[in-house]
Amino acid sequence: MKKIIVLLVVALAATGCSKTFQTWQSVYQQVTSATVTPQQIYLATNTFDGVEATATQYLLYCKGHLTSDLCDSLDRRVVFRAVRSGRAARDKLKEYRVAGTNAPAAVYNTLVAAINSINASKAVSGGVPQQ
Amino acid sequence: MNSVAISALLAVIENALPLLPSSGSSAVSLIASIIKALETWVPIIVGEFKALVPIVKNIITVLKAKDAPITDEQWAILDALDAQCDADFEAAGKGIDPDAGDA
Repeated sequence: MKKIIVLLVVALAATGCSKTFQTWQSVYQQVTSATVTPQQIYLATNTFDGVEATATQYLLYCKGHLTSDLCDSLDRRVVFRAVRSGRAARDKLKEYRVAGTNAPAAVYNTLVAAINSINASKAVSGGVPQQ
Repeated sequence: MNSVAISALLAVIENALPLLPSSGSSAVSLIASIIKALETWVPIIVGEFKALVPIVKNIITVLKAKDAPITDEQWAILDALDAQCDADFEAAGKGIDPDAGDA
């Protein structure tokens, strides 16, 4: 846990300020008005794969615990939809890459929104035991 | 520790990366700190959740060479990883997708 906190501090320090999420979000908005770099796409895609793998663990848990509070159909729906939305955005970004053109930040932002949605879901925040 | 913590962490880092200064000693120092922290996690991830190992290694590699172009080989490896993650998710979700009319 200590390492988690250290890393979170590092990540938050990387924002260049000690203010709150609001500031974070306002700075983030500036990114949405531009195209994104291949490095950003690469990192976001890897991160999406990571949260998708975690969502997979959640579904494996739910298969055996369908009546658990963690696995309510509403909660599962959030996960399925976020993963599929993120997957569509990721695949769209790949099309831009293959075509050799700049990807619009709006598509990238959809991918990031999906990542954030999965992170906010019970797949990540619910404390699902490791499968 | 489990995959959930690691995934959440990766997302935080991902969100913070666009906010990093593009140059200067502070940027170098911050990125080095993130890389060092990620590298300390690799052995733990290997022991507990192997699916995340290539993902974390990819992130470390790109952070180390922040402005270097992503190679065709790196994209190909990532594409394969995408496909594997998608297939695993669909297999795990079979029969429990509410949008598909499942339970």
